[in-house]
Amino acid sequence: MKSENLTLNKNGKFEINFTLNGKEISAQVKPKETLLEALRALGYKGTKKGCDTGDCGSCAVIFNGKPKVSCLMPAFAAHKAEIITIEGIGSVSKPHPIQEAFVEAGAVQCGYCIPGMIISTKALLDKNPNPSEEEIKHSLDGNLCRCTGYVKQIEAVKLAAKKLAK
Amino acid sequence: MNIKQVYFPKTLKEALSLTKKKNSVFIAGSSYSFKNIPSQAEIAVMGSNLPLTYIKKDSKNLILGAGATFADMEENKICKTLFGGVLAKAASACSSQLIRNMATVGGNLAHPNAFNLMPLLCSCMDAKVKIMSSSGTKTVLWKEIYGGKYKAGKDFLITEILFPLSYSKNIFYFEKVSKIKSSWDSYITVCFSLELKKSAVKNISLAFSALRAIPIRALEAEKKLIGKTLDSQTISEAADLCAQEILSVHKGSSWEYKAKLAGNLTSYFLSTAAEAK
Repeated sequence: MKSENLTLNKNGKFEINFTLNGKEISAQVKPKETLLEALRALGYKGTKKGCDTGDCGSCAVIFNGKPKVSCLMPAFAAHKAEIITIEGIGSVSKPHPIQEAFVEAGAVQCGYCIPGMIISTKALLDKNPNPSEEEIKHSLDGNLCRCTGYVKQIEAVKLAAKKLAK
Repeated sequence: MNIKQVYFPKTLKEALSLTKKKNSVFIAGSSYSFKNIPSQAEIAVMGSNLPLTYIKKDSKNLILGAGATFADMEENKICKTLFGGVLAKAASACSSQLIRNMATVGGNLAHPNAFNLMPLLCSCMDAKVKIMSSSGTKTVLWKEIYGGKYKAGKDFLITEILFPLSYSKNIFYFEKVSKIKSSWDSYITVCFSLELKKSAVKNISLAFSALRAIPIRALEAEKKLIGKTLDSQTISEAADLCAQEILSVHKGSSWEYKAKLAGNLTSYFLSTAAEAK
């Protein structure tokens, strides 16, 4: 099978094709653009820009089944990939049980880190529906929150696991 | 950065021919290289489709495919059991889950940096590295990939990291002393390996990182320990030697702290090993 390659088009951009929240899409991305910047430019602004150095996790997306930071990744790396952003998990009118759990547990203060937290939680619970507290802490160790003490968020993940088990 | 073309090769041969092109840059897991791409780079060679994500063992080595991530290593059954599970433990200390899912073991080894864990593990176990260049495939000692005129990801590709099974039943100790667990950097990180024979030290490796780009082995302390029983005086002398060896590289208040830590961790490891026996 022939390997993929991308060449700059006349607009000085790469045309990439990928699956975003279950839909196949095409996008033009700049060579210097990170995946985070490209997603936000496409209107998916639930993915937040925090530290921009891979430390805070507010830009997390599920990339080919695994949570990763989008601020370090070139946008062109998304070519042929499957990506899930917070918009693909739930919405205000139809929240995902994980999002409901975060609200019910009082795990949200300013909310900036929450999309990343939800992404990490979704990836964790997809793989391990009944995680221990240690496993929760380990899986969310890349998601920093500057408002809370993490206690409510750990409770929220436990609550989400219970909701999803029903 | 001036990337004009991006390739996603599926074979090593194709990847190598692309990295040989002028102004090309190889991107493994993206956790490091994208923001550090040199301005003259015009071709990006993505390693994501290469068949190098395996972890396996043969009769002589535990073999990490260079494209395996730290998350793969952390979760792998062989890494959890062989070498006292030190490979899995070290992998879990590599930054955060979001980074462990991206960072590859080959990429971590290819870029010499004080806080990279793979060189430390390789140093502790005298690991070898399989590399592929236009002249073929060969296996070299891990540190031979640095400092020469040939560059990883350009003139050659790291394809496998080989940890010799002769170390697999040793006593291991890994510790990363850092401000927060999920940080990439640390004050000091150590990986120690010890083989005892009738309570005497047969083989020992005392490797330290977070000090300079390439980890430090406390060779004088190791030499001093060979053949000795681990009594309190021997342990104390070895710990002092480790601290001195670290201070011999660089001086300054933070290095005095690192040297003290190195001595204390050495002492802790040897005392615990002596008690266990």
